[in-house]
Amino acid sequence: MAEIDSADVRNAESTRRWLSSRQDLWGASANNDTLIETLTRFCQFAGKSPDEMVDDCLRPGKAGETLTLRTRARRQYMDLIELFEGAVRSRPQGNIARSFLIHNGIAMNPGILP
Amino acid sequence: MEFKQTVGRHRSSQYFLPWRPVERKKVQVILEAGRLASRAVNTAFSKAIVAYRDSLTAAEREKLKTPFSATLIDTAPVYIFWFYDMDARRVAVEERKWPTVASGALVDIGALGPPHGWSHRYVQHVVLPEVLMPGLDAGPQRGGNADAALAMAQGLLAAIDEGLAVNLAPFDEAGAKEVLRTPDTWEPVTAMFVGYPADSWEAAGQEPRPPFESMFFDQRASQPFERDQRVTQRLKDSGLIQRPAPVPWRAKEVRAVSRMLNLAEDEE
Amino acid sequence: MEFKSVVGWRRSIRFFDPWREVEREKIQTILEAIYRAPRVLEIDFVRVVVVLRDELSADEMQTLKTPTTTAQLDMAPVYIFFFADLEAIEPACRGDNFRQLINMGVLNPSHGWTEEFAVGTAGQYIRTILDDEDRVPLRLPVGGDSATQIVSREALRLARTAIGIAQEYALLAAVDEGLGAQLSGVNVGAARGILGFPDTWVPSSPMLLGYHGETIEAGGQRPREPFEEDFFELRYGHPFYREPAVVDRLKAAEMIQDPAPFSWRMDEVRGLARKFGLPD
Repeated sequence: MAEIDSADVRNAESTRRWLSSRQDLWGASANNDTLIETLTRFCQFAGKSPDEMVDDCLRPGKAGETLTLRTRARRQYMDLIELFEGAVRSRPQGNIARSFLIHNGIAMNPGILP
Repeated sequence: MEFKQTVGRHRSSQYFLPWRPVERKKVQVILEAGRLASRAVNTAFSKAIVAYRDSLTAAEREKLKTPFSATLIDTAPVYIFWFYDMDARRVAVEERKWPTVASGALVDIGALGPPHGWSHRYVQHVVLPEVLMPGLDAGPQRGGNADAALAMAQGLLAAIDEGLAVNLAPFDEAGAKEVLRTPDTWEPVTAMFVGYPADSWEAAGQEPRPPFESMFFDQRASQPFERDQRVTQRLKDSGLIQRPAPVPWRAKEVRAVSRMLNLAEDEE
Repeated sequence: MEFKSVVGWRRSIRFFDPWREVEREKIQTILEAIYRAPRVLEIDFVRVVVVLRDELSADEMQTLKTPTTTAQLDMAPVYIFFFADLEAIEPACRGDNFRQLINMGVLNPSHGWTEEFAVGTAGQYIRTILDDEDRVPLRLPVGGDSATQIVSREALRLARTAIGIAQEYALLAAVDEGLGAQLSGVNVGAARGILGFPDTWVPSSPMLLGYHGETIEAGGQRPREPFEEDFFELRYGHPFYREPAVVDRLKAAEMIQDPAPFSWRMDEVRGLARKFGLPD
């Protein structure tokens, strides 16, 4: 697949949902360019677009109105973020990737820092 | 009253002054305490109806009695009937009228949030369909709910803190439906009988329990929790652990109080 | 602490300082409070297992987690598990505890309590609950497991009531000891394997326990539906009138406190995320 760039990431529906949810919860000052830059880096690391990652973890329920969490995919992304975090040597960057998934409805639960 | 004293002063009170009413404001304190108890997904599983002995007819009182509560109903001036609303989860999920997990309120107020993996979308698209909604189709299910009892227990301690005597005893469910007009979706927890004590507040003394080590365990269910006697001494000093039943004068007190209340006396 | 203050300061705490152990004497104090809690129909249902997080293996910790409960399990150094042992009902049917209470002057002939009443009427009343025909499996069968007990819903009703009473005593005792606590869901099947509790024990939510990692206000007292939705007088549908003067008195006693959300709560939560290295 073609290299994912920050414009693709910024324009993805799931990215807009993420930023909007963060703004609702934390206020406008919570969002900055670092978020997009880091998410882009993580997308490149995973080889997936933002929407693809969310779709991997949530599938439409039988009624179509709700979503069902795919636990195995969620687990895979939790592991992938840990690898990413190790590669970039930054918990904050790993947490940006987690924040993206959380605000899209996928619970991410890293261990706490000692 | 100090918390430890409040816990230590609990007795399953049998003797109430039937002629001394309980101030309404004290009854409200009991309910206010119950309302503040912990509860899963911030949902109102606990409900209560307050009734007064003197506001019910003799026939109505009879309908509420069980073998455990017959004399309590005759003597306690206030009854608080606690219930578990088996429909509370459905109402929380479908109506989203009050601040519960289902309504998204706990995310909004920062009680549950992204640091714990929660977001509005997670609540609406995952927690609701996968945690809160399964089983609702089956309708209200009997079988109890600890959360309803949490509220009742907090109310019970509040009654003691207000200087009142209390006793938990079962009531007749069919009778309650008729007299109190309770909904079909309410399952009884227990009745709390409330009044001023007719005996001393020590009553018989602290009531017996099985050995501590048969109830409390350490790390595994097979490993008893070893009780440190220095801690128990400290709790004796603070009033949580009190003189165990029976206090030496109990038989005489029971006889005298029974005479005072015109109850059947023990044989001399 | 004053009782009303303890009630008022209780919150479901979800951020604990993970590096700070809870003194064993405080844990015992909580257990001693539970020990004094009233019994439902004088049945000795309650069983409690104290688990220290740091004595669990990484695998055990992982299996206890559910998608809705994770970070708080990592943070809380102590978990207190509550159970009700259904085997405790049988001795009650025989009137064992009633007989003891009669001998001690707790239950008396003035209220009809005699040996005959304890064994016959009272014991039989409990027997009826135990034998009630409306029955359910105590737990969902796992794999080929067909040994699951089928129990009456009425017995479960009593058991869960006993658990709830014990849990509330524990929560309040924790607050009184200056600790934070929360009832939390865990993977019950995993807990069964780790704790090794018998099949007759009805499980419930454990209490997570530790020193507050957040302010004790934790964003304010959690909001509630209107008082009149829950409490009635004389009959259902007739709300219990809430006297404002009583509310004022309880505010002065710190039982009723400022409700969530505090204006600074979201800043606190983001700060806590940074403190523990969690996402926001």
